[in-house]
Amino acid sequence: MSPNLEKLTKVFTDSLGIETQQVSDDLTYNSIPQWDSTAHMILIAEIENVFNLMLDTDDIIDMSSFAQAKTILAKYEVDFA
Amino acid sequence: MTSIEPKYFYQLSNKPPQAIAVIEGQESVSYSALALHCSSKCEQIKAAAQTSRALIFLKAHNNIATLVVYLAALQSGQPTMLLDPAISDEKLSGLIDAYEPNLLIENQNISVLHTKSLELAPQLALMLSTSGSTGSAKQVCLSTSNLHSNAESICQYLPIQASDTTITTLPFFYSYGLSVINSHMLVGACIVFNQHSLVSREFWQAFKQHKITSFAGVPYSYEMLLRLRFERMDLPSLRYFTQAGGKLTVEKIQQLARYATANNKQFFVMYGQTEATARMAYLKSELTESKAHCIGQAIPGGEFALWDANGKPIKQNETPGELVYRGPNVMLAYANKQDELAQFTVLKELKTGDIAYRDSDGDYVICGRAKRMLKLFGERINLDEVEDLIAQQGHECYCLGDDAKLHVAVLKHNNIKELKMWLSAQLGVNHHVIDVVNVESLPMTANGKKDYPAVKAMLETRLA
Repeated sequence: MSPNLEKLTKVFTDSLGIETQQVSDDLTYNSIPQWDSTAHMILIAEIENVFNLMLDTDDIIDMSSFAQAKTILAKYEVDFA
Repeated sequence: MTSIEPKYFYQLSNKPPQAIAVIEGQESVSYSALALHCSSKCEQIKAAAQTSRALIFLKAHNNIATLVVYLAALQSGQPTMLLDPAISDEKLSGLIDAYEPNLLIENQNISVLHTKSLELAPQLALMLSTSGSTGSAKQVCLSTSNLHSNAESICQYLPIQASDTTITTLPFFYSYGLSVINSHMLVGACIVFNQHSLVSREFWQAFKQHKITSFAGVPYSYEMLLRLRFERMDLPSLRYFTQAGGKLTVEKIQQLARYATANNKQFFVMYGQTEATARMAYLKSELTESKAHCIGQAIPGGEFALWDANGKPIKQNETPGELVYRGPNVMLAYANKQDELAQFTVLKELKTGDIAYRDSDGDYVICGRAKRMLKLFGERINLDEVEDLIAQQGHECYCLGDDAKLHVAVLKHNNIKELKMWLSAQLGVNHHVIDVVNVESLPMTANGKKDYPAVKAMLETRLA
């Protein structure tokens, strides 16, 4: 796992209060009770913190899955390879 | 039964018949069509209950189906409890045991639980929970005049117009969310029913499509909006927005007030409780920035007093005391079970449990809380109820905290992470705002009471 992928996975487990095994590309907003709108904002704050960036409104709204998070972060030059 | 005057907000005959009352997805319903839906719903309810006054449990979704049942129940004088549709089966069956309702309604489904006639006080119209999260059976009992008078007061101080379109941002079963619905029905305005969160694409699409003129939010809603860079959004249709349901920081209130002023909009900060139907106070929008620490003054028709520890009124300014409210929107009473619904003794005033002082302009400032209660994400958390909840799991604990975090000191627990996640799920709040600490003893005061200051000191040393 690339260091950035590891970081992002940890942000998800910490923010949503879930286990590492539960984090996959299929993990989507509202698909588990833990990922509600409150957790979403905690998640966004953590992502901005950990990767030291500021997300645009549209990106915050669109970040509705783990896979999407990677795609969006790539725009901010966060490399997951 | 009380005679229902046609002027009440839920009587639809005096509304402009062609005006759109509600929108949900692709569906729009005019006031005249809504009135017809309501009368046929009244007939369905009466036929199912086989009694003239049924006690109804209504799972309150933010949708037209819920609104029709709610209005039909008010129109036909059938007391209704609004429930969180996400209520667990366990909590629901606890409430059914406590209140023995005749009907359980969700959307189009009416389940008949029994057809016995119940002794229900004539004034009783609606029941709302103040702490759905802890699963307590305690309800706030409201009358039609409570609901109507509060809607009227709100329409006097907020610039609500018949041509307005608002969007639901808060639960239907939450007094603040409900007050938005009632006040818009009163003036014959339009409500867009939305089930999406403020951080979803669907919400903002609906907002723009329907040219939303106002919306409501709790502190957490505004924290989300500020993170979404709300100040940079172009929302030409928006005229005003309101905040209640807890204290937003002074900085954030000012930030939002500046946005409002710069964009020719109004921002209203308000104060209330379910026990007062919804609203008790508001701050004039021109003062939002300069007096961001205030709750303002009582709404039209209401009045505040401050009481000292002996229940004596405090006359002088700048002197803190318990904030006490009088007005036609003060609830009938609390209830915990069915037989408490038979009659009510009139409450003269409502002790809010908040400590406040009055400044020299006559505006009130909340400076503390008398009740063991805190608010997390706008959700009221009664600390004693959380202690009971954990006690039911066989663990002794003390709960304390503030509006940022709930602290639990639990006695000799071997899996505090599990307890924390369980509590997070039970209360429906994110685990980040819950802190569980394992302790070897729980201190008592000399007279055998729980020594919260000592526990607080214990927790602070740990965190330091």
